[in-house]
Amino acid sequence: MKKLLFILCVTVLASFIAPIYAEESGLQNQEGRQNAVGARVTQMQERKTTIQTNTISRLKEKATKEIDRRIASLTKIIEKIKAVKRLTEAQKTTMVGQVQTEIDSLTTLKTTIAGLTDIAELRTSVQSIVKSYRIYVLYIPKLTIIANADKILNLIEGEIATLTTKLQMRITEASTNGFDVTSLNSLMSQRKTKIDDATTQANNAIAKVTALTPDGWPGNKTELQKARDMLKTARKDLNDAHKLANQVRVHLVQLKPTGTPKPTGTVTPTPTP
Amino acid sequence: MEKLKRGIGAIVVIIGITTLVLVTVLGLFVQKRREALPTGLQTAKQKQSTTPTAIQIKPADATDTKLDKDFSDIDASMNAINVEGASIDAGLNDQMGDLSE
Repeated sequence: MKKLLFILCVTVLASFIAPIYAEESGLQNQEGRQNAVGARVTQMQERKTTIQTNTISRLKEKATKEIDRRIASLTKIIEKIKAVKRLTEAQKTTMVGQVQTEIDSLTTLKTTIAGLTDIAELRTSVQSIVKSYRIYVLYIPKLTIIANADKILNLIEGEIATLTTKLQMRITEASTNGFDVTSLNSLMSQRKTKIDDATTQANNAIAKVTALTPDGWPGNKTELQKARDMLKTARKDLNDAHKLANQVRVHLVQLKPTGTPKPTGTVTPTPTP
Repeated sequence: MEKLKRGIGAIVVIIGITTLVLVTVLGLFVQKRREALPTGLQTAKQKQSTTPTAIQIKPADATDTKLDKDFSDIDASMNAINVEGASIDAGLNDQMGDLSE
């Protein structure tokens, strides 16, 4: 009986103590779990910070690369504008000023971006690069077209004009010596047509792009493409003209070396224009 | 006779004034049209109208050897122009650098 009473007491006591112990133990587990969760949150935050830092670093690198690329191209184009003969000093000053303003703006943006640590602010600044793209993408082809047209016209008025005079001089000499120069005159005439067309195309290309502004982008891209095509034609004309000049030269060499021109009786020298 | 002279005088004066007015109006019209042209076009037109100065060349400058050199110089200039021409396409087809992150 005593034994039975003892067992009963122990059971009752155990039923009281057990929940308290369980609660105590549960609390300890919960605390441990909370600590673990806290540690995990901290880890995640650290990882997030690391990811963000890496993103900022990569974005800065990309932005800087794009800015540097544009500054380099725009700086080169300034030199090209200065060398153009067919623009007035006022036009050159205006164009150089526009390009320099863009370079300055990009340089300032580069400094700003380098100093940013907030991803949202950085993204906003990077958007400025995207927005200013239309300025860059207009200026580069526009000014390259003007520079290229200018070089074509310089070549025509300089070296090609000199060559024309020399070839004409040789043709006149051959004619004076009694050679038939009809075919030579015909070649020179075809050559002149090509050179005249190249001149027209180059002048028209300059006129087409000079007034284009970034405000008209991307609508004015078709104007740039038309001007590009004009210059393609001009360059092809010059290539054709040069081939014709070469034919004249070959012909002249064939006429010259004998030293004894053909009998003049049957040859009627064609007057040169 | 006096009246006839006066009549002729009046007609001459009227014709004179009309001519003056017409010339002035025409002048103003031409000036306005010039002003309306974009600066680039004006420059291009001005440049187109200029005639290249005459080049003084002696017969000694037109020998086969000198011509060979001229051809080679023009070849070089044309190559440079063609290379630059290709960069127009590069400018027109420019792609913005990747700025996504």
